[in-house]
Amino acid sequence: MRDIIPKKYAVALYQLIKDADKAKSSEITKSFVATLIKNKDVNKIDKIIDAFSQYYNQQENRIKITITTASEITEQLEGIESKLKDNFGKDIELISKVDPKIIGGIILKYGDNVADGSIRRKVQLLAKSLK
Amino acid sequence: MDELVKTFHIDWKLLIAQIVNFGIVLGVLWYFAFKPLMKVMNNRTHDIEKSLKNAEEIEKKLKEAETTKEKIVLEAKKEAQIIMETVHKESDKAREEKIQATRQEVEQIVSKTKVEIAAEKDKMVKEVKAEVADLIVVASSKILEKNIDKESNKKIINDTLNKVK
Repeated sequence: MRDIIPKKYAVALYQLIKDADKAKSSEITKSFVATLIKNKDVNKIDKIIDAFSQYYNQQENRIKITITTASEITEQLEGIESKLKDNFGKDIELISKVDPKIIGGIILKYGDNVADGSIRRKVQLLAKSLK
Repeated sequence: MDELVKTFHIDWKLLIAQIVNFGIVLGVLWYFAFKPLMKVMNNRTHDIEKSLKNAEEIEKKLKEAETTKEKIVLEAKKEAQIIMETVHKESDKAREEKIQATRQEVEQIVSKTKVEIAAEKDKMVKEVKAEVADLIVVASSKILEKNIDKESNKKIINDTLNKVK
C-alpha cells in the first residue's frame, strides 16, 4: 500500500465534513478513524489533526493564535479575540495558556510567528543591552 | 872632460862594468821583486776598490731596504688603520642593530602586554557587566512578579496586540 501523507488525510477529511451536519460529521469521523486503522496510519493521528486544523483554518479564513499570559485573563479574552480579529481580518481560533514565568504581558504564536510582549522578554532585552 | 875624469878617478871600464852590474841587479829586482810587489799592490788596490764599491752598494741597498721597510710599515699602518676603522664601523653597526632589535623586542613586548591588559580589562568589564545585568534581571523579575498591577499588565498586553497584524 502506498504511503499517504497527513496533509492528504486532512484535506480528504475536510472535504468530507465541510458541508455535513454534526451527526453526519461524527459518523464521518468514525469512518475516518477506521480507515486510518485499516491503513495502519493511526500513529500519524497527531500530525493529521495538526494538518487538518491548519487546512481547516486556511479554507475557512480562520487563524489559530495561541496566547500565553502570566495569570488567567478570562475577562479580557473576548476583547483580545475581537482585537485580533480586527487586526488580522480573519476569524480567530484562540488558545489561551498560562505561564507565570513570563511575569506579565502576553506572548502570541500564530503560524510560524511569535510576538513576545512578555515582561520576561523586556527584562531579557534590558539585560542584553547592559552586557 | 879629461880633467873631470882625472879629478874623480873615473875608470871607464869599471864604470861600464858597474853600469852593467847595476842594470843586471835592476833587472833582477824588477823581475823578482818589483813586478810581484806591483802585482800584489795592484790586486790589493783592486780589492780595496771593490770592497769600497761593495760597501757603497751595501749602504745603498741598506738605504733602499730602510726606505722599503718604512714604506711597508707605512702601508701596514694604513692597512691597520683601515682595518681598525672597518672593525669599528662593523662593531658600531652590529651594536646599533642589536640596540634596534632589542628596542623592537621591547616595543613588541610592551605592545603585546598592552593588548593583553586591554583584553583582560575588557573581559573583566564584560564579566562585571554580565553579573550586574544578571543581578538586575533577577531583582527586576522578583520586583515585577510582586508589584505589577492589573492595569499595567493590561496596557502591556494591549500594546503587544496593537503591534501584531
